[in-house]
Amino acid sequence: MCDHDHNEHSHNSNPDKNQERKGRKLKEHSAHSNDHKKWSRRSFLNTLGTMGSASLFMNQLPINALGLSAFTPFVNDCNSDRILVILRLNGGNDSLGSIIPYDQHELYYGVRPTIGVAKPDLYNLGGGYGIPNSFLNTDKSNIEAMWNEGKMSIVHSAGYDNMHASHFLGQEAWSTSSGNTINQTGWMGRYLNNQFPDYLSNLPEYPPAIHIGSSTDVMFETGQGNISYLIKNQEDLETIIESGELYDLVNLPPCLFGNELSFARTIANTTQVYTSIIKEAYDASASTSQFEYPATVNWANRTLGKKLHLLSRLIKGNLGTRVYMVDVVGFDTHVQQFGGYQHIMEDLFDSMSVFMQDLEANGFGDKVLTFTISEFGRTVGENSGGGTDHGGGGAMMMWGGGLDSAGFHGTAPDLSSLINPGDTTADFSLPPTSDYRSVYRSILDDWLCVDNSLLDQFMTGSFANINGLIVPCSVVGAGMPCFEGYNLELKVFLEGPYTGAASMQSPLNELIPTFQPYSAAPFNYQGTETIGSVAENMVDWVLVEARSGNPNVSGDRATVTIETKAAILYEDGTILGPNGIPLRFTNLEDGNAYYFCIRHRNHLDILSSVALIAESQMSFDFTTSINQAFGPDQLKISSDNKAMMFAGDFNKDGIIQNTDGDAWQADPAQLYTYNDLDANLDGTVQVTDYDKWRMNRSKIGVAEIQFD
Amino acid sequence: MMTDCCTTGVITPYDPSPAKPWDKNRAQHLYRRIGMGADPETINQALQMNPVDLVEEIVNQAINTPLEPDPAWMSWDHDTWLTASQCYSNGQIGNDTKRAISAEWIVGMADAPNRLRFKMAFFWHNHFVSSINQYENSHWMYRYYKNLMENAFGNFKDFAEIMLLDKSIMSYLNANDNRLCEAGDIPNENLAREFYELFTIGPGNYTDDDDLLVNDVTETAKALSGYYFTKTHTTQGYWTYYGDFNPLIDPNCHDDGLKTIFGQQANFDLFGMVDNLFAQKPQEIADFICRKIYSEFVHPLEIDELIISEMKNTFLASNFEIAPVVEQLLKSEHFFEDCFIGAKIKSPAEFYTGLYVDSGIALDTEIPNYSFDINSYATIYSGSGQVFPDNPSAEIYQGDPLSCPSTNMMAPFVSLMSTYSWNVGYSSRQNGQEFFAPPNVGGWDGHHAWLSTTQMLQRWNESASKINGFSSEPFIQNFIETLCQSSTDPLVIGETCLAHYLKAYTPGQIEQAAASFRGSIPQEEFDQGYWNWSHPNLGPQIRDLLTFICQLPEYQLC
Repeated sequence: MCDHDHNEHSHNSNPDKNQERKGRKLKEHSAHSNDHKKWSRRSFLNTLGTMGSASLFMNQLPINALGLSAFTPFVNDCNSDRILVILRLNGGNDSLGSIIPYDQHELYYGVRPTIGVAKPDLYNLGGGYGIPNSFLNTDKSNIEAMWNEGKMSIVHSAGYDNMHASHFLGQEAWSTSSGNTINQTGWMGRYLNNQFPDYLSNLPEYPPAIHIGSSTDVMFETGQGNISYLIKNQEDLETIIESGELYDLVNLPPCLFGNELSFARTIANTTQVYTSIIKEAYDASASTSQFEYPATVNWANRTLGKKLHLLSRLIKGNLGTRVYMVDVVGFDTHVQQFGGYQHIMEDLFDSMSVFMQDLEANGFGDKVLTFTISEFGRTVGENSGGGTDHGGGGAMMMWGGGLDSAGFHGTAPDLSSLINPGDTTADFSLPPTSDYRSVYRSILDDWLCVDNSLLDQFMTGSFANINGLIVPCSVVGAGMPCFEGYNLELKVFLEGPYTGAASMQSPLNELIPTFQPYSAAPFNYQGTETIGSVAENMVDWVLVEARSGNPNVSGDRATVTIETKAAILYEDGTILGPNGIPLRFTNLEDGNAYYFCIRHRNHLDILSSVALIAESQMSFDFTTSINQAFGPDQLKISSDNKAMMFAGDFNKDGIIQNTDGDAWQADPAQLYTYNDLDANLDGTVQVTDYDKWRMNRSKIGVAEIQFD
Repeated sequence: MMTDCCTTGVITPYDPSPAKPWDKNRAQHLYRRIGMGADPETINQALQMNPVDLVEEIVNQAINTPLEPDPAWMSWDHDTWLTASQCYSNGQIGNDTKRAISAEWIVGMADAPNRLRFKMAFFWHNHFVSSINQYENSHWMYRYYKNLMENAFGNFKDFAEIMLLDKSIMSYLNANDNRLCEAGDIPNENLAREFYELFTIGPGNYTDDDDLLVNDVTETAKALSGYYFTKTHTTQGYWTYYGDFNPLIDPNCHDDGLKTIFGQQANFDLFGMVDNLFAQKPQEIADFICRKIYSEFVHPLEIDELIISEMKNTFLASNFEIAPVVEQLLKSEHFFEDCFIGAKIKSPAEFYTGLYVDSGIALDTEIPNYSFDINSYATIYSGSGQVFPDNPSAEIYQGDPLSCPSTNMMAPFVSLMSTYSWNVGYSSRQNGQEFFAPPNVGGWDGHHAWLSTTQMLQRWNESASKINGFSSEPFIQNFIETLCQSSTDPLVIGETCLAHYLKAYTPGQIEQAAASFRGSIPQEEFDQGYWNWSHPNLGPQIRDLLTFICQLPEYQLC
């Protein structure tokens, strides 16, 4: 989603997978960062007509009410489109069952007579360790290739001093990075809280973290609450989407109960919107994906495969979320380990292989770093039940294109210092030789490009990086400028509300719906722009269209709508997006010319007199002169010589005429209403509205923007 | 800040009238505030009584019902405690005691005749806050719980003094670091400051400025200096035994010189300091405490100053007795104003517990098919480290069988482990409300802070899974059938359930509730009498209906 040069890719909405692509390697950073423009999350959201962010604001505070500048940019995340996937192996992974001593195989095999893997059945990874051939020889496993291409690393025997032997405390230790002391916040919670400091009051436009698991984890505890969005499985999403609805924020019971219900409904709607965003990312990736999942694999039956499949769909759908955690269960192998353990590890390696191929085929190979954690390793030798018991250090595995010197890291445990030749039991833990917090710190520093001054704070202590684990940010040149879209500042006045002195009145207040009102005919606009609440200076919703081509005053239309936005008109004539910042178009072509049309539900629609060249900052003011609108006299002069849109097109056919007057006659008196017959937008339909129509009747709008 | 539309009502006892009838909504309101709601039978019985008499009865039960005896483990010695921890609990005996008492508390608030006592104790838990994550001691935790239960309706002055000497509080607020043994020692002011700010008078009513030669907090810290507690740790995990509850004073490290607090000079010690506070700041204390009680029982944001002043009068007239204030408020016309009904956000505990209470399910009901029994919990070498649902810590310890005694000793921990109360404790914890472990000394913020997108999603997921767990059980099917008087009309069933679970609902919601209940069964089957209450699909039908209702924003309110 980073781009310096919009032209280069403007017609290339999907990179051709057959073409040898530049930007394959992280170090070719400029080429790489140019690669994804048309897939940017924003344009994606936009294409789908997804909600304006204001709908996400909680406590009913729109962004401008939070004291932020109207020009506050979106989170500038161009240097931060890297994604972290944490695979948590719950139960205590017996890493000696998968990353197996090769050079010291005899000692290992002696203490694991029934569950050990024979040396000929191991693939030698080098560095004294091997991996069971059976893990590599499944249908889909690509681990051998990944290892040899430098896309996989292993950190030897990770842990901490005095490791907990309890699952609960062990998981907490890994989640909070606190070793054997206690901490109430998670390492990712601390990091994300810094990224999204006001996430509770100003909800980010995508979930900061997604945890695919059964219950929220302290890893994402910020101190203010848990920042992760928890999904159990993809079916959950379906259910919520299907059963979900946006609750009515307009028709509320009176009084305190109504206020509190409004609060609860707002939260429910926001939750629904997040779910919708996730589901949309999920759905969108189905059609754009450059990778076919192997048909031979029944993903529905795969513990991990299914979850990683869901994950890849969200990543490919450009959800924007950068931190994911996936729980994998079944590692507490106290008895009869052989077989069951083989099964889950084969699933893990299979699934990781397919996941990586999928990501690479879609240009995310270098963008995603995956690594495993587990609360502890297991005993070095097997127990009498053919299993292994809670132990200490365990190997961590990492995958991704961002690994620096791939392969083994840390000190390999020396079995000869633990086991005597001829020993048949080894009922003790593997001593940790790598501190897991050094891995965490390397990730924060080199993968997530966290400022050095913050590292100790996020880690709650001072730890060293593991050198060479991940390509450092300084090498990759993080900090690309972002493609932020084409921002348009617009100004217009409406006859009726206009009071003179360059200002309009805004008596509608809470009558203004929080959801954009242009979904019905003739507008048929399906965007889901929403505001959290109505600010006092909001006049009404308007619809803004970007149109390409050269317009005609009469006869056939010669422009086509490229992109439409619902927006809010304020008292001073400013039009801003529902999120309180200038309208941002993302589907325009850089340097091309566009006319902009403003529609209002009971005023005569107008088109800009000239085209604007698409660039990052554009502006147009319809209030300075009646000639600012395309066509003859399409704006009305106010008493203080400002141009206003003509009131009275009640039936929205682009002509103010008797049919509009008839519409008013049919229903001429209504109180406290949000009604198209209310020409002066004061919340009451009455004769003053008729008067507005009467003065303007027989006003013909330009054919170019009339509806059929 | 009262909204204009709220008729405020007065403190005088509520007298039902046609405009303010004593009806289901008001009775449910009372039970949601003094406990966790009530099933239809309780509501019906309540409606037979005069509301003022009912409140009197509730308060009297809360005060007079004897408290539960201490659990057996409270008197264990160090070795027994350690053995139990190693043999049965995988070092998690601290978590097990914490969860057992949490479950007991949940059952108490939901079902006990003196539920208001439990609810008040829970209210005080969020007032006199300490977190077990810091003091790590099951005995102190229980003693703290008992202090809250014993004093919930007592005299607030005595209560404050007792909590100053509660070891969990002393530990949480660094009493042991407040030692003035030699000239130049600086007092630790943590306990002194929080005692004023959070426990008694609130910020702004005392001086706390280091630039002042004398300030109330520093002087108070001097009065509290030298009070300490002892604690021994064992090496096996944490939360181990220490049974001595009597804090000590180290005369060598207590400053017994003159202190000036609130303008009064004396050589105050802890007790003198408390006397001085209550003598000098009665108005402030009354205001602070009455406001908090009001926020709990009426509404945290819509505070009626007239009512507060009436409550203060009562509190001061009774010399800081808690019961009269609570009783007066609960009886008042103000309390029963329609405005406040259903206008508070449920806490996680209220949400999950309420789901069972509203569905007529006692919280100490065994979870069907949970296949849990104490023997398997305590049987060594019984399997492969089986993890109990919702309780990963209760893994069977793979230890040495020879040193492990009888399994019966574990009974106190596991009596509620297989019941819904345990499960509710788990869900509340997951939603950020872990009993005995509020996030900081300020306690849980409550109300709006209990609802965020994460919370909402979790409520949706967790309630759906809980409902799925019981929707096919005969007890819930009978409950819903009885509630709906065996109607076979989905619209009637939908509306009856909405009316039962919610304060208010819309015609659209009746349609949706009916549609949820119908599921894939065509309406014709109901019309033509093919559907009845023994329909094979009844479980999923009830599941979908209740899930729909519990996910509504309305159901997040109480």
